[in-house]
Amino acid sequence: MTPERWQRIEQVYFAALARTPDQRAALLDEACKGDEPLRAEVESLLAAHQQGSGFLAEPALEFEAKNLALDRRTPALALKAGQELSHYKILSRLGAGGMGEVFLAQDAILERRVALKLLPVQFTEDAERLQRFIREAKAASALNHPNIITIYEIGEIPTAQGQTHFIATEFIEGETLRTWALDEEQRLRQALNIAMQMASALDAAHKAGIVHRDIKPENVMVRPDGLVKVLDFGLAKLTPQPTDSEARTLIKSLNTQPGMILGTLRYMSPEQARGRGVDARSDIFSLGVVLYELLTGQPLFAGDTDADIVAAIIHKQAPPLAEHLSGVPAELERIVQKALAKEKERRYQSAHDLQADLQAVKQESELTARRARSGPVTRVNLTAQTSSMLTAPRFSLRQLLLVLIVGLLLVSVIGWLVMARHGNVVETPPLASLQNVEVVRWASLPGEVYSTGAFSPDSKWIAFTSSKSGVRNIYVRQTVSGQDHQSTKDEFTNESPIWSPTGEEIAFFSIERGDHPGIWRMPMMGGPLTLLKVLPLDEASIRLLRWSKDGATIYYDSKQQLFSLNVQSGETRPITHFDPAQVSASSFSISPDEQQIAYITTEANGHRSIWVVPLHGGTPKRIVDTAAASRNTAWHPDGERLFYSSKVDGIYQIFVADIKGHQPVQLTFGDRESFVVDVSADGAKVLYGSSEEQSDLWGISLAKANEEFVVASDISCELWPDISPDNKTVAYQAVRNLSQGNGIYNGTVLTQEIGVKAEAFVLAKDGFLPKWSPAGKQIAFVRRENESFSLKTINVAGGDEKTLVTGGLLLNPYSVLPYTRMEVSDFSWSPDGHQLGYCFSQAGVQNLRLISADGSGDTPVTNNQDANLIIYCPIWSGDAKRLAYATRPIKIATFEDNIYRFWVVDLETRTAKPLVQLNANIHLLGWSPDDQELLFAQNLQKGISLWRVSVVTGKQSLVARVPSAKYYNVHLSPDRRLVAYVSDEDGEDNLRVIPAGGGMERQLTANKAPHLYFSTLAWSPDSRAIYYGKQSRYSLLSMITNFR
Amino acid sequence: MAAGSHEVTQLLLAWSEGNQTALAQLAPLVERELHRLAQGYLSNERRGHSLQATELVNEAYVRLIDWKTVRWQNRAHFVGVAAQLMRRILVDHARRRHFQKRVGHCLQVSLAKAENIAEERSVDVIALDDALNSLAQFDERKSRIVELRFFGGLSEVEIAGALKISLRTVQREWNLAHAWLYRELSKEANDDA
Repeated sequence: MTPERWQRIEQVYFAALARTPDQRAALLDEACKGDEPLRAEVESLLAAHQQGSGFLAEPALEFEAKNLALDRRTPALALKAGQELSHYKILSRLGAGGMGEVFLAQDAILERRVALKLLPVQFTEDAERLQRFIREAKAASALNHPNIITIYEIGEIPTAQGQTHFIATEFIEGETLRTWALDEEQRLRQALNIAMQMASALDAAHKAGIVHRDIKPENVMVRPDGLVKVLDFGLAKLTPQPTDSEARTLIKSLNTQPGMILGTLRYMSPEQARGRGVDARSDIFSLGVVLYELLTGQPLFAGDTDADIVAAIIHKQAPPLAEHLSGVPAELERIVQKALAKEKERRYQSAHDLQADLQAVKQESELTARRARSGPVTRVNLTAQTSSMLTAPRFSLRQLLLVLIVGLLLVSVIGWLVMARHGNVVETPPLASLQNVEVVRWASLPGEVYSTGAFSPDSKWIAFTSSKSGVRNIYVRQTVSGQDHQSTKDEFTNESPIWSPTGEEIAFFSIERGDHPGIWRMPMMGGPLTLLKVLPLDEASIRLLRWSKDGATIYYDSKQQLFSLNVQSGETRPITHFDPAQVSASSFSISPDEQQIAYITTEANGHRSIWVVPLHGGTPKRIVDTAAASRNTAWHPDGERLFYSSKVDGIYQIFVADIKGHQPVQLTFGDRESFVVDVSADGAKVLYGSSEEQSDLWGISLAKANEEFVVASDISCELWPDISPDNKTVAYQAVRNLSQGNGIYNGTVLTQEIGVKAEAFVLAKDGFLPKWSPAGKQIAFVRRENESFSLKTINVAGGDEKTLVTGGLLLNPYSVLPYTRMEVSDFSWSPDGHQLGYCFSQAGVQNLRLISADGSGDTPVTNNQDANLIIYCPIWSGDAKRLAYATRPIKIATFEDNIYRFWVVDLETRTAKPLVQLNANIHLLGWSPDDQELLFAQNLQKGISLWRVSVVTGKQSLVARVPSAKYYNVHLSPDRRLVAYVSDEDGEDNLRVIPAGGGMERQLTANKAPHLYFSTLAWSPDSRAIYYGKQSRYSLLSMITNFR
Repeated sequence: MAAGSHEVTQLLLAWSEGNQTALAQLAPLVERELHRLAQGYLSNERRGHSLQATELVNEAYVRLIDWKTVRWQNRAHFVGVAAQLMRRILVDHARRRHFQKRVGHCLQVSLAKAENIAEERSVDVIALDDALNSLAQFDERKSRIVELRFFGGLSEVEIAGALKISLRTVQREWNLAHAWLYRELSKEANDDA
């Protein structure tokens, strides 16, 4: 292309972009008269502009690192039955956990069966730690105690991943306590039996000086005859543990243990959670938690984030057992409370004492022959069950102002214990004494971005910036009413508002204002602007901090230095001379008396320190030292306390520290990142910003276009609906806060009657992707277990959970915001409801399989041997005699190799026939009404094309081109007569339908919001209604209103 | 790691002044950072988190090259050079990775496990590098802007500062370059055109 030609293209492109889409054609007609190639070029660029929103959105370093992570993800060791490792012959795979994969194997020399655990390479890299583990594990095994598993051998064997360490132990035929089901009638007796045996094992180990450190249900096996074996002594040593010196607070320890898996936390003792020293009494606490859960059937320390769980471990007293289980002996109540004492000095001092007390209770209860009965609660009240979900705002999409008084974002602590520098425990007055934090929260429009904010001197207003108008402008908001007023109304980016001491004016930084980027002032409600200082564009990272009380000086930071601006003369002067490589950007704040500066540095060891230094020079004083990433500081008006945001478990939370250097107190425990911005002059209000992703479930009836109705919106993200055969109830999954660490896999499966004001029903607390059985009696769903997926069924009234498939279930990926499933089927019920078709990977090879709904008759349908083939998207024909599915290669050398194929397999003969082979991005939608054709969609640069292919002849024919359709959001109706899809025009998502045989598109919804996304659709079985998620990202400005 | 970033900055400066051995010293530093990031993703994932750690990356850039603190006379020249270098190192890395994947022992990543990064994989650093070369032949500046933003990790404002052009120009240039590249790369991935 010549530069001249390119210039012309550029001209026309931007001219077209400036027009509304309906005016573009006219412009192109005019501009490209007689030059069709020009027109084609511009049109294709306009299309690319519209489609490629996520393209290059992340920097190359991030992109490449993710690819590297994908490549390095420790793959399952594809060991096959019959394979030999050293003198062990693999018989089958038993399972996998955080500490490695376990196989059943035959020891060829000693001719006995063993459990062979292969340790992940990353846990065995540290030779010293490995040796310590081996010593302890062998020592425990050598105790020869009936309740401690016997280790036969620890060694190394070569595998596909290099030298791999293994542990061969006796093979226990039984289940771990995690999956083992207590007999409801004998709960008390069985729980006592297990706990006593565990205590006995611990007693023996403790006497030999061995602490387990990781007592939890997964590490306890129960044989069918009731014998208990405690596993994995010493193994906890292989994961990095914080020591007293390196982790003063629990928060740090959470961040320094990359191998820690959610869930194991729940059994930690308070001292472990705080990163302090661990001894035998820590095991006793963990045993107490296990016993409590066995007795009540409820998790004791639950929470949705690590931080929540840890807060519970440290502060939450176990509720009386009697709340969950009737007929609990008072003595057992006392024993459990003693085992669970927060201070280890007040706990049982030996496992032996615990065991003796349990023994006494057991005898007592057997004498009185008291049976334990529990009153199982089948219908769970969602709001009570998940009350902590209220930390996520329950705003409907239309409701923008939101005031929540939350009793949960909660915290802090009376009589806070503070670790002084040298480890002495000193009682000091608390830094904050809030029992309940009251929060006012304002949510933005979908996609709107809020940033920075400042309280007016009288604390009645907040100035902040919003992108509502397209670029950032300054707004003021009344803190009481939440009423907004836009103060700057221009096309330039205006940022970082601060208030004049009288509260009458606002100063701000404007990035591009003609030739005058710099600091400006204006009346608070807007009006004439006055330029205070031009600052070069090069210094764009400017943040205004404070306008002095005498009105003469404005403080700002730029490039990690603090400056003052003389408001009268416009003269600027640097105040600090820091090493900019050390100081964190945007971390400065100035004390209320304008005498001190707070700022954050990164130390050579990676720690962050918060310092306070006199404004006019002096010795800096370190007030916080933390391993967690930290940013933003804000002073309390008392000049003593300082707020900042620091990461806990990957999420920024607000902390308050004081300048005397006491241990900081964590103020927020929410799911959303909270960045502290300002504290009001009256000292009661703390302003902070966050963002969150939200998804609500909506439905629309084909007969009533434009009348969308809400189906579920209580929890922050509800998605992936599936409708019951009677069309009356929707099953879906809910996830708290998807954007910040909670993946879709951490969902809860719920059902909700449509159009009825009833509570949602929690069907499975841990699961996702629900699918109703054709008879409407069961729901199949998926649960992530041991790093892989299991296919389960559960009775729709709750209970009777069955595991059908475990270990290698394959699922299709999903996209993020919108959270859309990328294929229409992951597994599917046969039309008669007797079987499920699913894809499974075994020994590295994928195949399509069938399993009966009762879990029997698991058989392969395909006979694939090619390890480089993905098999996915099984769809039943209407007569239930055939399954259609798709394949494509996993790895390709060139794009020519990227062949997508659709197949139909005859279930009678198990013969598969390829129907479509295309080197193009296509996906399968379903069968035609007469089962003679398949319908599929092809991804085009603009929209999709719909195709039919004859199952008999393989002949393909084009049905329609749908330029507005989003490729991953196309779904065939159950009567197979309509195709529903999400359309995207001018960045606005809507729902449309088109006849499956081709014809006119029809729009059902009337969405005009640009950043509101429609995701994964589901038809009602009667083909009369469509259900879908509506998703967006919001900014939030929140304000704690009762700080003391 | 402040020392690390200083080290990198010095090496970059040396390289921009013609010291070719600096490149050899620099690549391992970038790769170390890549591996650290990848490890971060994996451990996040082990904790049940998705692979979205933009924060990590922002930190990585600061650790590698503290753009904002570089106060060279020829700052524009410097960041240009640094972004170019990042491009070279990352493209080399991608090439080696691809090669290892084809030749080395087959690490199988199941489709299900690819999770949400699957989509993002559709950008191929190597193909992008080629396309950027083509773009540079008729529009050098747009190619540079993409290089600074995608490979260099600079913000639009920083690019405007480095190239001494207005923010709006940067946004405009990016807009078209982005559309053009997206179209070129989807041409390869999609034979419908």
